[in-house]
Order: sequence, then C-alpha cells, then structure tokens
Amino acid sequence: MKTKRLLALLLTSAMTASMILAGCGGGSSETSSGSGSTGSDSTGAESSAEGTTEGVSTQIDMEEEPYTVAIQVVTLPGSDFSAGEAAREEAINAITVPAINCKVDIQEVWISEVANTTSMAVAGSEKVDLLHVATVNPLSSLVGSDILYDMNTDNLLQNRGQALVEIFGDELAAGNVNGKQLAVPAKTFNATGKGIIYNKTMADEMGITVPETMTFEELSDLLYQVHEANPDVMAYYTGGGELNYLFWLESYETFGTESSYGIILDASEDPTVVNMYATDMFKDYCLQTFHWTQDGIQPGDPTDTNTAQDYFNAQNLFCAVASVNPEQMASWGANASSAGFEIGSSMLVEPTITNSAITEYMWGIAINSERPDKAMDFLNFLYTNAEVANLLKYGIEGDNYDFAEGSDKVVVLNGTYDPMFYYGGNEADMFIKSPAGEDYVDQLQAMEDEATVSPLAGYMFDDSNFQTESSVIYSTIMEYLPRLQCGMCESEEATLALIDEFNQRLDAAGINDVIAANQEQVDAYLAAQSGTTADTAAAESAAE
Amino acid sequence: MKAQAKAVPASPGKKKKKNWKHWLPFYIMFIPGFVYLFINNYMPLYGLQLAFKQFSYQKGITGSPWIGLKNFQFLFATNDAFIMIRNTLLYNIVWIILGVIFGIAVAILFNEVTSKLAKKFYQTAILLPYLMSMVVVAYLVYAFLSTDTGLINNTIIKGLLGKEEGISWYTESAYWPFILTFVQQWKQIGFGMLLYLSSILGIDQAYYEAAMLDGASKWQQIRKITIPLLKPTIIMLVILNLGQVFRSDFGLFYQVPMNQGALYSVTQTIDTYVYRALLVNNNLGMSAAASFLQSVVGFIFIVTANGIVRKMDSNSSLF
Repeated sequence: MKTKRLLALLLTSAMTASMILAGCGGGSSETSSGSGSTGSDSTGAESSAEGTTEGVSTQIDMEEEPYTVAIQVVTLPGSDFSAGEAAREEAINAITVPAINCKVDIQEVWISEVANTTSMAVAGSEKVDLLHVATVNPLSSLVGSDILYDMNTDNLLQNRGQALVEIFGDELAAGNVNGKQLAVPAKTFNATGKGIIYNKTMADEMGITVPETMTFEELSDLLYQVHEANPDVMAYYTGGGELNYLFWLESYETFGTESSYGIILDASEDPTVVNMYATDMFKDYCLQTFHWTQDGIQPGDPTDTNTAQDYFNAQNLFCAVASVNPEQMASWGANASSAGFEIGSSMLVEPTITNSAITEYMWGIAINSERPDKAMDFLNFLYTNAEVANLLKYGIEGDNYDFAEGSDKVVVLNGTYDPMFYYGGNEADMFIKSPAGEDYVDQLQAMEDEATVSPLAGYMFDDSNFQTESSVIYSTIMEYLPRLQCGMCESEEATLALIDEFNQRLDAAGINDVIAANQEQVDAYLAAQSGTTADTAAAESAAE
Repeated sequence: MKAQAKAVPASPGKKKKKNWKHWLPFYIMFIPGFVYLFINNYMPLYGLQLAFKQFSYQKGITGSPWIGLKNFQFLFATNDAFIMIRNTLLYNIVWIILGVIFGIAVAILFNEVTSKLAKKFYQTAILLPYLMSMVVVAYLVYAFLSTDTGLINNTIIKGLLGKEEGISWYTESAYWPFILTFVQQWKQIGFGMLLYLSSILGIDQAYYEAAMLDGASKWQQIRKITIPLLKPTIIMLVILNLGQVFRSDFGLFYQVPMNQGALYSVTQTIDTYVYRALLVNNNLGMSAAASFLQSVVGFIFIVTANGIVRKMDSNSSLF
C-alpha cells in the first residue's frame, strides 16, 4: 500500500514536472521561430521587389521608431569613463539616427569581467546587442555555448553588412564555424610578426646590435651576451610560465588555449595536426629554458606575479616576447619613452595573417538581441563612418583628445577616455593615436601586404563535442607548462622525464581524440577551400 | 455554577486565540529571514537541472536538452579524480578534528585571562586573521616562504642551520600538507574559539565553585565540567562542518600555494580543479554538476553523522 502510494506520488510529480518543462520549452522555441519568420516574411516581399538574394531586406526601414543598439566597450579594470558617456552617445546618435535610424547605448565593461558579464547578460536576457568576442572572451570558448547569433540567418551579413564583407573579405571565414557566421573580425589590419621587443638604449650601452630578424638559436646567443654584459639585468622572463612563450618564437598554427587542440607545424607543407607538447621543438625549447634558468638568463621563479611589461618598463628586463607590428611598437614605445628609454624589435616569426590574429578581436551579435538586423546595421555603419568610429574609440575632440601639432590625423589623448580593448571601425580612415605618426596606416598596410596568409586563416575547430576533454587537457597543461618554461627541473634528464610524464597525462586526458577530430575538420576545411586539389593532398597524407 | 460551567468550555478556545496572537509577532519577525532564505537558498534549486543539461543560451534553462550524467564525467575523467577527492576529504577531516581541539583549548585558555586589556588584545589578535582576505594571506605566506627573499630561508635555514641553499618551498609538495594546515588553523582558530567561548561563558559558575570547594584541580574542572557541558556545541559544529566536507576554501588552495603546478598533487581539490578546468570553456552545465555533487556528498555526510549521533545520544543530534 505504502509503496503504491509512493509510486503514484512519484509518477504524478514526474508528469507535472515534464508538463511544466514541455510547456516552457515549447514556449521559447515558438517565440524564437516566430521572430525568425517575421524577419524573413517582411523581407521576402521587399527583397523580391529589390531582386536581391533572399533573407532580410537590404534596405533599412527609416519609418520605424529608432532602435537602440547596446554595444560593449571594453576597458582596463579600474577605469571609469561613464562621465562623458551620455555626451558620446548623443554625438553618435546625431549621426546614426538620420543615417541608419538607430541609436547607441554604450556599455562599458572591464576586461576582467567581460566573459562573466556577457554570459550573465545573455543568460538573463538583459539588453545587449553587439558583443566583444575577443581576448578573454574569445570565439573559441563561445562556440559550444550558443551565446552568439548566426549572422548567416536570413542572409543578414550579406544583405546588411556589405561594408564588412567588402573590408574583411576572406577573413570573415575566421568567424564562420560549421557554416554559422558567429562573429566578424574587428581589426582592419591583422598581419603581425612575432618575436621580441627589447630595450634599445640598454643594448647600445652594452654595445650589442640586435638584428631585425633572428632564429631561436640566435636569440639564445643574444640572451647570453646580455647576461655577460650585465648580470644584474634579467635577460629574459617568462613570468608565471602559464602562457606558452614558444608561440612568439617559432612559427606554427595553434588551436585552442595554449595549443590544447594541437598545432600544425607548417600549414602550407603538411597539414597534419600534432600534439605540440610531444614535438621535438617543445623538447628543445624546454631544455633551453632549463639551461637559461641554470645560467641565470631567466629567474625561473613561477611564483613571481609581476608581468614582463612591469619589469621591462622598470628597465630590469632586457627583452620580452611580443607581437611585432606597428601597433605594438607604438604601445610599447609610449610606455618606454615615458620611462626614458628607446625600444627596438626583432622578428623570429615573419609577418603572417593567421586565425589566431584575426580572432584576437571580433564582434558578435548576442543571441538574445531583439533586433539582430539593427545590430548589424550599426556594426556595418561603424566600418563605413569614421566619425562614429572615432567617437567610440577616442571620444569627443577637446573633451577627450586634441590633435597633435600640425596634424589633422594624429590625436593626443588626455586620459579622460581610452577604452584600451575596444576595436571598431576601419582603421585606414580613423584617427591615429600618438605616439604613432601619420605614416602609421601605411606601416600597417605594408605589413599586411608583406604577410603570408595561412591556408587555415579561416578555420576554427568546433570543440562542442569535446568540452570534457578540453577542460581536463587545459588543467593538465597548467600543471606542467609553468615548471617546464621556468626551467625548474634539476637536470636535463629530469626535464625530459617531466615532459614524458606530461605527455602521458595529456594522452590520458584524451588529447589524441581531440587532435584526431581537429584533423578531420582541418581536412574537410581544406578540401572545401580548394576543391579537388586538396582532396588528393588529403588522400596522399592519409596514404602516408 | 452555571456561569462556571459556561466558562470552562470557553477557556480552551480563548487560550487558542491567545496563543495565536502570542505567536503572531514572532511569525512576522520570521518573514524577512524566510524571504532571504527563499530567495537565496531555495529559488536557485531550480537551476540544479543545469547539471543534467547541455546548457544553451539560446534555448534557456528549461529548453536545453537533457544529457544525463555527461556533465559529471570531467570530474572523474582523469587520474586526478582520486587525488582531488582524497585531498578534499582528508584535509577537511583533519581540519575538523584540529579545529575542535585547538578551538576548545584556546577558548579555555582565553577564559582564564582576567586582565581586561589583555583580553581585548588577545581577542583582536586571534580574530584578525579570520577577517583577512586569502589573497593577503597568500602574500604573507609568500613573505615567509619565498625562495630568495623569504624570511624562513634567510633566517632559519641559512642563518641558524647554516645551510647554503634555502628550501624551494613552492616546488616541494611534501611540505604543503603542513603549511596548508598551519595556515588554515591560524586563520580559522579565532572564529572557532569565539563559538566555544560563548558556550563556556554560558556555563553556570556554581559548578566550578562546587568543584573548587571539593578540591578539584583546574585540569579536573576542565575534564569533568567544561568539556562535558561543551558536548552539544562540539557535536553541532562537527555535524555542520561535515556538510562542507566535499568543499574546500578556494583561496586557501589556489592563492596560498600561488597556483603552482608542482604542488597540484597536494593542493588540487574539487574546487580548484573545477576552476582550472572550466577557465577555458565557461560551461555552466559542468560547473553546476560539480557543485551539485558537492552538495549531495555534504548532505549524505550530514544525515549519516546526525544519524549516528542520534543513535548514541538522541538529545545531542541536530534533527
């Protein structure tokens, strides 16, 4: 009797629960499909009249009430620019309302909080339209979570983002995952070399000349020279060792955070994905860092929480790994000149346009955006109208910046507004931030022209089936990489033994399954890119 | 007579009414607390389903598909599972025991201090670490243990023991169970002491006077009066702490060892593992699964411990 009653109770509660769930689920899917169909309905009629591709209309509806697009503007933690926000919004609205019938709502977010703020806002359906899909909140970590709106829905990007299509062209593919356009690049110039930025004043004092390009072995020689000339100065510094510095010193294509999903050593020669931590390149690197620590080239103390920039600007550090491009040179140079020294750079990796460079800064539309079409309008307009782009990036003339003497392009910021991590607008038409000079855009363009484009620049691994593996792999990397990079083992043998142990743990974590899946997607991508030629290449590599 | 007879049946009803009126203010006083508990502790229960779902921002909590126990897999996916569960449980159990011993010891000692000024001083000194952020504690520890500049290496190891090389504390995992235990006790002892002290102050002084008249020594008084009368407090605190046995103080295990990979074998707990693992893919389902598991294990521990206590001494059990 008792069991029967219990069973009945269980059954009823289960049924009620499933009914509630079914009800809610149905409701939400109805609303989403409803909004989708209204979008395509209204456009179907118009676009057939226009004779363009199907989907949303290519025309902006100027009759309706202006929609307010909320855009994330990401700043340094601790900064607060809310004082002038209303004025900037007003200045932008004065341009955008007559042009594209929409207003803007600037949402300042600290970079340390952007990932959290975004997921909470989207989960809680708070208003946000344009998302900062970059740096600490990158596309790779958002792919599996459905936070981003597919811009291919109703041909939104093609029909309403013409300027974006024109400016970014093939680079748009970097935001395309499995046919879904989840994000578009934010920076107009994505080519970058990699290598070191060094204290030129210090090098001159030591009588050392640093070549413009060098290899890893030459870098090591240089570091020993520096150490010999002045043992009190740190020649090299890897900080906590959690970031893989090899990324700046050797050329390879990497996937996932700290190469969790493998690397391709030379994408143009042989597109085989391998486990970076099992390569000879990594072994050699770890042996070298071991010797560096032993010989006092680097401090090898992973408990040190200072950044390389801190030490570099305090002139305690000779060089730091960095992306080598005009933008980085201007930014490091500004800090250095205020500290009273000059910088130089040396490239270890030639300028390339890679997926990681393009995806470093991107824009996405939030899945809960009420009007993805208006968000796209604003984004598109941002890349055609330099005035709006300048207002968002530099603020208002007089209030936030003044022009440098004798220039109508170069601006000097006064510190009242400087959203460090915000990139939006066509840099070729925008103002230039001092200390970069008027030739800044030409420099960027020159590097862009010189750069080789990786055949995988548009490829992004879809890791949605590997959430468990990716988390375990990353945790394992964090356990071993800092020790190896800081060269903390007692001997060469101990270093090699630790690398072996590291790789056994990675195998156990499933890195090979992830790499195999990645390889499959890479092959499919390359095949789709170049049709039959790639097919044969893939067949050949499979035969091998 | 008649009047009396009438009065008699009326009285229970009156009493009931009076009772209800008597308790009403207490129920009203209870409302804010209940509202707080409901919003803070009961409403989030709805989100527990996330642990069994592949959460999609597009579909929302209810619309996301069920995926069974898949979210729990990452907790047991590696050899780390054993290490982190062992660490979490063992540290907690050791600390619960030490917390009782040191808490009572310090409370009794503190109770014997008579000077008002000294009392104030000790109370502040003992309680201060409890109010400190773990990040601050981490750097205090670092000041002692840093290999090059640390106080211990430079004074004791190199100075007193005359060794040439200091100990590289942050790479030797063998020391850390002791370091963490020391730091944890140092930080928490003030709070534990306060709880026991408040119980000790509540003990009737007559017991001690009677014992003294009978010639009982201080030690006998402690053993025969203080500790037996503290028993309900001890049991309650131990049972409550057992509910947290599958959780760990994130700051203590992450900040204090400076997140050093070499120390993971003794500092990896469920909380630090979840943090490290989910740093890269912000998966709400997996973090919900981890915390759900912690709650379930804590619940089992509380119910079991309480059951055992009830069997032995039904007056001391919590429920």
